[in-house]
Amino acid sequence: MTSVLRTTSPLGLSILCLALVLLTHGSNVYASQQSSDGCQLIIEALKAAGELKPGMLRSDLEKSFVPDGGLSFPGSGTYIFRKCHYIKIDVEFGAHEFDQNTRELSRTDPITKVSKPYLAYPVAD
Amino acid sequence: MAVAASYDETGRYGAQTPFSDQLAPHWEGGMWEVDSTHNSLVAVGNGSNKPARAELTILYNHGTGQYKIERTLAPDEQIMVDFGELIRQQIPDKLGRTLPLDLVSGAYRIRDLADTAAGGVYEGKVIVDKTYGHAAYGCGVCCGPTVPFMEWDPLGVPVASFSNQSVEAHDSCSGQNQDMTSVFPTWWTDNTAIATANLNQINGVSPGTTTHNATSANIPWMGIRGCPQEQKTAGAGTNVCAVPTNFRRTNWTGAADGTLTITYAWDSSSGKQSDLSSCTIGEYVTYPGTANPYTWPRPPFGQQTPNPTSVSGSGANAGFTDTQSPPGQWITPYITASFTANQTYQYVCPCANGGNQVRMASYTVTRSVTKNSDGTYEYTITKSSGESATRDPLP
Repeated sequence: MTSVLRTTSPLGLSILCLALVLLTHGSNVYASQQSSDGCQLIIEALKAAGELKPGMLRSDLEKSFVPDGGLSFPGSGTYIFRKCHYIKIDVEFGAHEFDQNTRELSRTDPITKVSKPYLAYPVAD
Repeated sequence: MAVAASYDETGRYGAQTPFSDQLAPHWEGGMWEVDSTHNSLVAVGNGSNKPARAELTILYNHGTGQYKIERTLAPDEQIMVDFGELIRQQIPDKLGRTLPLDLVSGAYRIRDLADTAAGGVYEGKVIVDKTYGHAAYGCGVCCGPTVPFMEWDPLGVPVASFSNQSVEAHDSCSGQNQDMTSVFPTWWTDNTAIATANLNQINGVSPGTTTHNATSANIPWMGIRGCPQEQKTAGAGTNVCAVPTNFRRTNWTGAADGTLTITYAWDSSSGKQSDLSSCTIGEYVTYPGTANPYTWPRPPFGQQTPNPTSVSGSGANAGFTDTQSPPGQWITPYITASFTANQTYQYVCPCANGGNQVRMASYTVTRSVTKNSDGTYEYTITKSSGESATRDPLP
């Protein structure tokens, strides 16, 4: 299985950092951070990524995530959370189709591996 | 080493000189003397079967002073240089320099400039002592290529393409590498199903590993009279692998939201896409300036991108899609703005370009926002390969 290699940025600090901040503060702080818009968005992204399982299809993935800009390969790709393009996951696909005429990626490609969500600037080219 | 000696009838004036029986492209000579009682004579000859461009360099003041004479010598031709005469008569060298009148000693160097790898010159020197009828000589050390070796080991060679190899050798005196390729006319590989040789051009036939070898011609410095006597063959490994070829655009669309989507494909030089599994293929994009991330002109663009942006995947893929996006946000009030990114598509294969990037195509990508005559604004992305997408008007 192939993987796509992308540059990471200083913002590529994992969500783990955020989780540590949440865990090391008092319960009041924890509650207020839980209720912030940013936190809600992260919770949504974690939930969406967590629901992706091997065997699901590219079309299932694209309900909550869209391909990052730049290059997309049939066997693997980086996807960004629809509601916040700074939250990304790397996804690998099994038997993948690449239409020889349109060169479009098949929506029925099965997912084989999903990375943990991470933060990075979106790619545009 | 042969020494020739000659004395006058009285035995007072005499000379002795060693004549080297070796040929070399380069000689380093020991001390010479010129004063009221001594003189030094140096003979330089061409012992090869082709013309030599012999350069005699007289070194003094610990090598900081140099005086050069250059002569073309036919095969078997010899010249004699009288150092005392050069000093006393202030004869200029090839660069117009003269030797100091008070100069009494130094060293010297002889080179065949016509063929620094396989030249065949010899030298002889005599120092005459006019007082005691004694002649002395310093040793000339022959210099030349030592053990030949291949410049690239292993040499990476793409299937259906070739890589050039070179034979090099250390100079026994200077220690510097010399290119010896021109005197190695015979080349071969151990497995022609993987690679073949056409002189020093090694051609890739199919993925795999083998060795390639070269052997030298009979040149003056090799063999019985050679200096230094070293081996005549060199060999190295050969790694042949497939590389992407025929990189091409297969389709493109410009969406109404300003997204430009282009698909590309490529082939394998071996004919089997799976042979490209050891290669990566991708892009390298740079934005104006050095700031990372690059902040697009704001307003009207609301976007930051990694600078540079580098994305790659396995070369075994049949192709990729390149999505060139509009900004994530549009920022008002709109103003006219534009910027250009430079995009290179490239691959990396272990057998190509020493495992470094090989460029396949380079384009510019220009994004601009312009004002329409009705006061609205439109966004256009244009790639230098001819594709474009427009959003008109902006929201």
